[in-house]
Amino acid sequence: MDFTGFISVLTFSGPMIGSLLVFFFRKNLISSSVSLISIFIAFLCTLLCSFELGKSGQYVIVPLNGFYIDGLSILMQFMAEIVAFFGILYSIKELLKLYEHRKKNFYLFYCAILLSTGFMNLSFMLNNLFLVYISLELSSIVAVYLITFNLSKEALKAGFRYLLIVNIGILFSLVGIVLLFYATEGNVLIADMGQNVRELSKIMAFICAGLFIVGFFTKAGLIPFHTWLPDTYSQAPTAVTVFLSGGITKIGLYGVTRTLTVFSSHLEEIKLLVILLSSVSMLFAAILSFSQKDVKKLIAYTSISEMGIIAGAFAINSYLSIFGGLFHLLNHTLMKATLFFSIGALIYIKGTKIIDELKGIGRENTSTATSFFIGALAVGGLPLFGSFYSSVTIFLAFYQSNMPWTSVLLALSGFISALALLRAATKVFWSNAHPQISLHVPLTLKFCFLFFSFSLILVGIFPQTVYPLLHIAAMGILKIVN
Amino acid sequence: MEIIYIAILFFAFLSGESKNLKFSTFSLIPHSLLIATSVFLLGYYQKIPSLYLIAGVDFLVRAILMPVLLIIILKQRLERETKPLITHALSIALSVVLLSVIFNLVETLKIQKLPDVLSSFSCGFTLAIYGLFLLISKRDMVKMIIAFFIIENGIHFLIIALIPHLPKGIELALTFNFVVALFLFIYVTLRLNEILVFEEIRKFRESNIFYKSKE
Repeated sequence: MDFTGFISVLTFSGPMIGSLLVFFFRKNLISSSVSLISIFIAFLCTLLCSFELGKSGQYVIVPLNGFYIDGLSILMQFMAEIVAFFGILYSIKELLKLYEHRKKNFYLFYCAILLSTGFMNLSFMLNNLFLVYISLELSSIVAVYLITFNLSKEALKAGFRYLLIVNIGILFSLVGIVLLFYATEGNVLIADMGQNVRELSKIMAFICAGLFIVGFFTKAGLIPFHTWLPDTYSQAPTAVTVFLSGGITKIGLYGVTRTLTVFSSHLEEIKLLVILLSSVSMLFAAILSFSQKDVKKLIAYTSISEMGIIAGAFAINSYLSIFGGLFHLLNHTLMKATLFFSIGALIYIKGTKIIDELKGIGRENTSTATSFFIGALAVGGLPLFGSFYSSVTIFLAFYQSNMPWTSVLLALSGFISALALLRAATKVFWSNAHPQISLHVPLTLKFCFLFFSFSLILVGIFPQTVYPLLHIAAMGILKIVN
Repeated sequence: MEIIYIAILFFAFLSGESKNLKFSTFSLIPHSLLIATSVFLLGYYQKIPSLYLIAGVDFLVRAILMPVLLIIILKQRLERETKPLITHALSIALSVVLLSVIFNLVETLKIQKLPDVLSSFSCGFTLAIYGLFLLISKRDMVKMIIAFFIIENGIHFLIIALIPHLPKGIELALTFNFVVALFLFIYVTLRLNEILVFEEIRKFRESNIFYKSKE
């Protein structure tokens, strides 16, 4: 095995070995430290992989037989590792206060995060769609333990619903892969997707694309397959919510990119169907966010709306739209982490997620308030934030592909989502109510949301820092398509 | 073979429509045994030795492990199903129509359009659709797990019908995924049952205190 092969194996085996160590040591301090270290090692390996990809001068590297690493794999791995790292950091204090009744099982919590990250990283690198399916399925199944960690009735119900809907939804994509395997006489390699889809009969392509839509849209939590998402985000610990929004649901979009982008480039009808469904998600999720009383559910709905924007951009299938979609994918992770982490700090103080019960609690928490407002304004796609550039890029891409109505929907949904978030923010941060409790937010929690809000601004001011990676990722996707 | 497929569908119907959850669970045993048998026979007739291993794994996971885990759940709760979304009579009628129509329709379609596909295709497709129907119409958690199991069995059959020479590693990994999902289903359901039982006891105690104070 050469150096590139070794580091690419470490990106997924690092967290997996870490989870084994945590399982044996069990002590809280050791568990969290080992978890952080193993994720950091995986992050470093992904960084080295990205250098190797850059050095290769091509858009893809195949370090080992069965692997396929392009810019999208690297980008997805970075996002999964970053949310896992900060999720673990955030959970150290959060678990101790809000989940003390589960103290004996903290090590299992860290084990589950590490295992899920490991399987996620593995699925982003594999070439065979069957193996990608197995790996992403394992990653999302393991997350059930994290969602139900509180063991409250609501959390268990949310976990059950997640397990059922996501499992059955993703089985549809398995049938899609099986059909593709049958139709192409055994070739379901990601590298050959473009060639395979081109040779498919129209009816077979429609059936496969339909099955992939149900499967991956369910995984990404897009309307009408979204029913599991708001409850799951609401009931999971905040650290897990960020992990879910930045990692687990992104697997669905990864599937969309690897399969539906290729299908929509060859069949106009599939392209239209995906864009239509994405537009429904964009608009209706933003409207639904307005009626939420639970602040985490509100953010969850805005998240669905943005996932719709990204899925729509991937379906358009031009360089501009894919570039914008990838940029928005990155911004989505940053925005959701900022919002969930900052509101999570208030939930840490008060122990409730209901907006009316949080009234006034954020008034004297300047850092939390600033962070939440940054996240809310970024959702609206305002200048100074990275989401401004990504939204404008997707807006132009929709317009250039003769779909101005989608551009209008994009702008409208962003505006509605931001309005819903700002409405909640004014209640939580500007209300005159004076809660008679300690408003102390631990340093690790502060560090987490300040890091992400700072990153949002940084990407907004210096977007060119992420352009090279986005360019390689977009070219990697187009290489498969063509 | 056709008689085995009809028997598989019949036991799936019994499992899905019985009001008694224990009976539903026990109906899964012949259902799964027949699945394992049919996979074995397919391997024998089509001369695909790898299907023998899959039949063995199916026997262990589907005919033994799954019913045992469901019985563990049932120990902690009432054996009667939670009221479904549609009436029992309507559910039975719809199930009979669904199972017979889809099976015959897909069988005809398969013979005409997909002659080289194995015979388990129509049974697998019917099971998957019937499982989806159960999932939508039932509200009981155990019934939902049974519905998931039936869908999974259907898709397992579809895979075997379309790609009998699927590498063993992938087929075993898919079964492993199913087992992990199954364990998590059981874990969540058991924990939820504990809470529901605890709530019932609390309510009972509160009502007792209320009546005693009245007296």
